[in-house]
Amino acid sequence: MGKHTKRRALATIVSTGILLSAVAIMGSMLTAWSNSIFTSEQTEINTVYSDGVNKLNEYLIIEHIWFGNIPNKFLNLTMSNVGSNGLNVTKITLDNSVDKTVKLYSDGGILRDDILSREITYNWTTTDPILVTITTEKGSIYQTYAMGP
Amino acid sequence: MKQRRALTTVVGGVFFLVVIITAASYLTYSMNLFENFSEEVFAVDQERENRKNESFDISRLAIQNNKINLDVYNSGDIPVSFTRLWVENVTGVDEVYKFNLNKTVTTGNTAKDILQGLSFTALETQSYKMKLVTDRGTTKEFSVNASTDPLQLQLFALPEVVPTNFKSTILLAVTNNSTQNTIYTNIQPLLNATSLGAIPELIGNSPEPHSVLKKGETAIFEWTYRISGDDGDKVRFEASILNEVPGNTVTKDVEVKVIEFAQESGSSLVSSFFSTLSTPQDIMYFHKENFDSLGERQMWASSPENNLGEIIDFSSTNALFYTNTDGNVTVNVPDGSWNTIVRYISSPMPESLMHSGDSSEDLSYHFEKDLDSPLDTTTNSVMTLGTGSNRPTWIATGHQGAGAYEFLGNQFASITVTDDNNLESSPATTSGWFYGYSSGPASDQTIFYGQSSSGNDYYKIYFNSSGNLIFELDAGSSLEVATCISAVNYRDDSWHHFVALMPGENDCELYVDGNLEDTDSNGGNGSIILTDDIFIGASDASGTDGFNGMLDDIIHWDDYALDETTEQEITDLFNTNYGTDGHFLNFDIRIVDEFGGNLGLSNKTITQTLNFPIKYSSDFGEYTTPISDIWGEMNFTATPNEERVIGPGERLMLNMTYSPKVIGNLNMKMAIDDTDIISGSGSSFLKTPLPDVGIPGYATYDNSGTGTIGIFNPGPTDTWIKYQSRVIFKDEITGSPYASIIHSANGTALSSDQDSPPMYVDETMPVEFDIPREQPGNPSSTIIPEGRYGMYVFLDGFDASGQVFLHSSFIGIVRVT
Repeated sequence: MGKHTKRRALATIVSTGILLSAVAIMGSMLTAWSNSIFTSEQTEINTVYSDGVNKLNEYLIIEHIWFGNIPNKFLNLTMSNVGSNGLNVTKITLDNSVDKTVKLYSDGGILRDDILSREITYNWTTTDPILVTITTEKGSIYQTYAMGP
Repeated sequence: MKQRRALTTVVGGVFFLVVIITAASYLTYSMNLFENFSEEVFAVDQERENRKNESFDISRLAIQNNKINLDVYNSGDIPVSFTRLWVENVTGVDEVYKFNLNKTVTTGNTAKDILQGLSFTALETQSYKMKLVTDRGTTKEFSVNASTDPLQLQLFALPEVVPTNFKSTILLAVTNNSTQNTIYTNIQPLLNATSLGAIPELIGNSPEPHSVLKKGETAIFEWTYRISGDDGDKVRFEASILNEVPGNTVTKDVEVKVIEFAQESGSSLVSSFFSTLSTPQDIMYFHKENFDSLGERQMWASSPENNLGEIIDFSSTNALFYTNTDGNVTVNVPDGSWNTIVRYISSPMPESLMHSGDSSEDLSYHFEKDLDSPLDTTTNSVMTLGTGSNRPTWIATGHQGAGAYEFLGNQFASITVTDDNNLESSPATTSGWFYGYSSGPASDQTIFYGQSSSGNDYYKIYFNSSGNLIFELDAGSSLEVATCISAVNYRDDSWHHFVALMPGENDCELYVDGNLEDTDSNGGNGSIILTDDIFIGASDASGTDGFNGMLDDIIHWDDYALDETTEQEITDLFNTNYGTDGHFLNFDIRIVDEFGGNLGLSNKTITQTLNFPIKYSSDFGEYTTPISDIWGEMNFTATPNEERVIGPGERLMLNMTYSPKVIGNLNMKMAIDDTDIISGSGSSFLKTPLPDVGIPGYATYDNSGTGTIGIFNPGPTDTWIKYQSRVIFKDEITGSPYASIIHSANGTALSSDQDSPPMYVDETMPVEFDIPREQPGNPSSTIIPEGRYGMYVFLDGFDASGQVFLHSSFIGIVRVT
């Protein structure tokens, strides 16, 4: 009977240790998992916020377009950043009924209150309006129509 | 077992707490981000609202001395900052210039000459496309010296058929009907007269360029030609504008017509209905008569008939006009320009300074025209400009948008001394506007100067070597020279107003821009005995101590010192605009019901324009009782975008009301219904787009009895008409004619052996006609039915030189009742 009592006490300690360890492991895992979820959500919402605010503050105007024909027909486009942040022009598309030209840029950064001019060889006419589309890195799109003189 | 459970609960609770805290932190962070985002949205929204509220207009553009004079008016609700100007030379496709600007104009104000500092040479002969850009990204494009679209051109000759050696007025109307919103500026009309047998001779000057033409507006240019030649000879007028789109020209022929049977008859009778002369049905002259027009003045297609007319003083009354009403007629007026021509005169002084006798001004020069002897609007004195290299240069838009003279060091104007300007004794006042060039020399520069031959007496206003403005006078004693000096250097490339007061013989006061700068009081008596002319811009006829800058509005009171203390006359004069914004008129042109009531429909409104600016028009000393043909002319254009329909029983109403300024208010008067006004476009009128039928006028004829018309003889000789002269009525719809013989003239019955009494020059004679019938003179023929008719008169007669004539003219639309 005395031997049996000793075994039962040992079993209690062991089982208590196992139980505590199990709870601690499960709790740690749960905490780590929830932290990781919250951190990734925080990062994502931060990114969404920054993108949203930057895009919201982006404001570009197509300030002036002029046409030339020496040596070949071209179009000179000046854009002005009148928003409160810098922006990056990544693509300019010119499209009329006879010619569609897409130009990609990796050097289209415009600081606030600054301008950017690009000269693009383009077969303009004096009768077809050209749809000018400017796309920024943030995905903003600005459009206007222009026609050769 | 109980112990294990408690421990597990504690551990679990700790973990639960960690999770709760983490979740709360995440939530708080998200809320902060959301708040920041909202603030950003508000800020961006505000910025976009500002962009929407930003607005400006080109108020003036002219090219002078290869420089562009551009004034911009801030018509929005917030200040505007201009950052860039693009200039494209349309002649050379690849010439594009970009200029950085740094000009800000506050709300309701005008920034003057904002392009003066640019290193750009603008030529009158070249055409440019320009674009102004603001820091918020608002742009406005305008064209200079050219049109990029073919503008609508209309050419009129009034009249198209003339006797030899008679004058014809050529009017070119240029309408900006561009499909873009392009503004055209500095429009220069071109008119080429080609002889097709007849010889054209230009009378007077060609018209000045038109400064700014916005979309929908019309500019009218006017030339007068004397045409001479034989019967059937013509002159072809071809008009365009400088640098217009090739091929966009309009032509009009003017033909010489010798009056039948009269080889040399110079008589030119004008027929009228009930003493009112006819005009084209789109030109509605303003008349002083008020019957059938709601007690207000009439407006209808009939020429002025009174050689005195009426002068409307805007300080005490409005100018309200109505056309007649007709319950059976609908008038369709197509879309186009409605031009109101106002012949007016400006008061010479603001209200506080409208004195008489010795207190009134004695000489007044506003330099509105470039003349070798500029006009003194008081007619008291004679000014003569220097000649050759000593002649100052006239700047058309020098000050407040109107003329001024530029002096460049050795140029001057002299004024002959009379009792009205001899500067002899106090009190006296001299005022004017000056613009001192910062590039001027660091030496004395004269503005106004008079002295005795000995040099002992003088009265002079000048810059010293430091650019201070000085008023100095010596009335005989060198110990009592009065000197007033400004505190600052005014060689600052800006316009300033000076008032130099001589309250006593040896005393002075100097005001600049309405503020007292300095006084000097010595007391005592004396007098200034001038022995030479008064000089402006230099101290003698050699150009000594010449001024470098511009001068305008030089006014002198020889017996009066302006009162600033009780009447604020100096402040009032400083705030007076003798330029393009001399006055403001409100225009209300609408279709109303037969009682003048508002129909409350937008398609019945032609325009309701407030504070339309009107240029100062000098008075030549006749403001109180104007009698000569000295009237200025302004054109107000309204362009509704669609036709206007005057329905049965409705009237056309034009109401002009004056908008007086609080300070510096110049009054104005308008002349109507006056045959003596033959300059410019004649008496005041409204010109509508050409309606499909005549707008109801005030001529009616009752077919139950005889009718009366007036025959006006403008000369040059007395005339007589003979029996068989007649009137003809032509049905406006069917064209059916009805005619009647004129049976008496001024009470004398006409017959085959009885002519009319003499029709004296400048007089109107009433003549009577029978009831018009299908066959005139046949009492059994059908009588003219009720309706609307075009009425003509055919006159057979002879003049005092023995020449005979046949004369036919259109009287106008007449209602037969």
